[in-house]
Amino acid sequence: MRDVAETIVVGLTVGSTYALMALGLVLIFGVLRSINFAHGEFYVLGGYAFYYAAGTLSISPLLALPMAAVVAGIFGWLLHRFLLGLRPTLSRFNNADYFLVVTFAVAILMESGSLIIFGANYRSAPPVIDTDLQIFGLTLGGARLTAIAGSVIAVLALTAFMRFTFTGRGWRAIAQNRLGAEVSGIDVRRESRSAFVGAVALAAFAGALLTPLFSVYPGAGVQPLATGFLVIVLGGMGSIPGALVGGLLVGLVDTAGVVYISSSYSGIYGFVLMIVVLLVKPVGLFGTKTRVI
Amino acid sequence: MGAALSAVLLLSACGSSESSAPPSPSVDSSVTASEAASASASESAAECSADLEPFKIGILTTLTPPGSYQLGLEAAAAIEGFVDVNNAGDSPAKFEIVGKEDDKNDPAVGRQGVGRLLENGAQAIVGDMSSAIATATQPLVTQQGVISIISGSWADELTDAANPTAFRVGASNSGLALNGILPYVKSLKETDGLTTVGLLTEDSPYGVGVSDEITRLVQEQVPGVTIANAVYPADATDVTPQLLKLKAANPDIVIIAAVGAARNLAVPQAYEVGLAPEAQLIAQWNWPTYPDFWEVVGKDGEGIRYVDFEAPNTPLNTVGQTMADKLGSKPSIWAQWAWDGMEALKAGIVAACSTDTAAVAAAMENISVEGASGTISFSSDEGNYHDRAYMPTYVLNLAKQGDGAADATILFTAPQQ
Repeated sequence: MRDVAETIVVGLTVGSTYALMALGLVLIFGVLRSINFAHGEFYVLGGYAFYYAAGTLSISPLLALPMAAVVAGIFGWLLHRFLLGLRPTLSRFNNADYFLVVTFAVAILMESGSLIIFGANYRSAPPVIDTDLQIFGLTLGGARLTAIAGSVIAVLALTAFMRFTFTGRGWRAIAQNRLGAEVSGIDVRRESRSAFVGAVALAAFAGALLTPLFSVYPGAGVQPLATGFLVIVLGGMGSIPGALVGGLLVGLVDTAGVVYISSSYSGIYGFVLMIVVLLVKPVGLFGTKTRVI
Repeated sequence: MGAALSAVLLLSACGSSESSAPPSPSVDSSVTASEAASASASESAAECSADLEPFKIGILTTLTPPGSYQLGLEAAAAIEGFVDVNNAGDSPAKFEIVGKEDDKNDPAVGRQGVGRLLENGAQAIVGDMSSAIATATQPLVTQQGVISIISGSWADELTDAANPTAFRVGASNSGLALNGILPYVKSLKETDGLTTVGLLTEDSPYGVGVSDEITRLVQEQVPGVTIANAVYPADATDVTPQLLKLKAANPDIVIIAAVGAARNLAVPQAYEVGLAPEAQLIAQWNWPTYPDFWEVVGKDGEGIRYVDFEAPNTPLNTVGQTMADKLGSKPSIWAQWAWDGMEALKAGIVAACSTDTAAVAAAMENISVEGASGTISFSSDEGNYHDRAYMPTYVLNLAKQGDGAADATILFTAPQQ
């Protein structure tokens, strides 16, 4: 019985980090209907910003977290203002294709840039929560507790933002019907930019939260991108609660699969779950069918 | 991510690397391969005064995380340093570096890199890389008759009879399992009553290969000791599920065979799931001696044991001192292997008195040359074909936070087989 409890706790803690990794992707896909290949690199950027603030400059980790998100957000604004937000000059590109290709190029440049600027070493920094929690024979360290709390807070905050702010409602309107939103007086270009900036800040926030747990290094963006895609497809493309539930489910299934079936298929259990869910519900757990006009 | 995806796109755009056959290595043939093989190294060295063309080498190594980039950087510096020192000397063997490629610990990227090096005329591929990269690139190298010097890749099949131009100057999975881990497990069984060995391994040719070898040998030769193993994806950062699985087996020791980021992260995560400190953690190579270990692991790393191939504070021999003078610091064993691979190549060229690739490869089978890490000669036995004849192996301990290789204490010295 205790083994089962341990497996559930580990699964949920692993899953909470998956949810965190997926949040920025959810926002971009939900609002812009585009795939952001540079998501993992924004995660890495947040990790380095947090490392330098909390680790090198010894700023309180609680302050360093929003600082990392803001630094990345500014970078994201500049990126959108001068690159992603430009209308494609080649007519064969539509906006989604242009976004995809440019973010892909940005990802390669950022990965190389990280290596040149930050060096190749694994970096870590102190977590926000500096205490351990004993539960079912497990010792959840401060870094792990920070990640769990951070993922829950980030999901709740983003949900509230989408529901109760004018900008958030604008994002939802764009997600539902871009043309309709424009007709209703929403500045789609400006709100798209703000959604992109928000997604970059969220990715960086996740990177900052998880740096004490997983460390940061050039190339650390691979897993958040791959896991993020799995989670948002499972949870429903564009669904914020879906990201949380999807992340937790993937974490649980993967942990249970490793412990009770075989570790040789680690990483595959989540994809099996995704396939099963998509067979039953093609739009994912919390996805909704949309009509393109 | 960028690297992986760009590799896929480039591969699909350019077609298979194998389909675009690079030009054959340049040939400066003054003797045939069979002639070279029949000549003893010392005789040829004394006789060779030919004005040989520079031997072209290509460096393929891991220069960026999450692979073992520290080792790659050290290896690349050692090879470049060797070429500088050698070319300034009076040896008839000279070298030209035709390119340095970062494999990014990605087999597809590694194959592209090798393709470029071969196109540039590389006659030998050198550098430290993971077994996954070496396994992916070796067919291309062997197909072209190009020499490969294996140092950091431990997969056994890299130097089997199907790869007659591959020579190993570093450790191998089976060699480590047989000469290092097996006697250590036997020793722990006798002294501490060890009953269960946990293996945490990444799903790479290195991780799976070494896990299989240790499992087989312990099951065959150490009755009463059971093996519990857990595998994780090589790019994973959270291995708590695998550690939880190992915890259920209640192991006395856990050997961590890993290269990527999880190698460090597994240590605090083992404490998290309650596996450590009850189970003694053992790193399967000397990664705890690198500075980022303590930054990532903190106090959880205290008391970690690790396997290494040189004793701490071993004085440098003449070759090692030349290396240290060139590189500006005492070289690690990985750098020594990279340097020694070049020494072996040089000895082969001098013995063959030729830069013909086949002649050099044939001559290398008979060399015996002093390198920074000891004598380099290659076995022709079926079991360890073209492997280093002898590799000393130690198990060491880091007692307190911040300790480096110089502070380690030797817990076990594997007996010479």
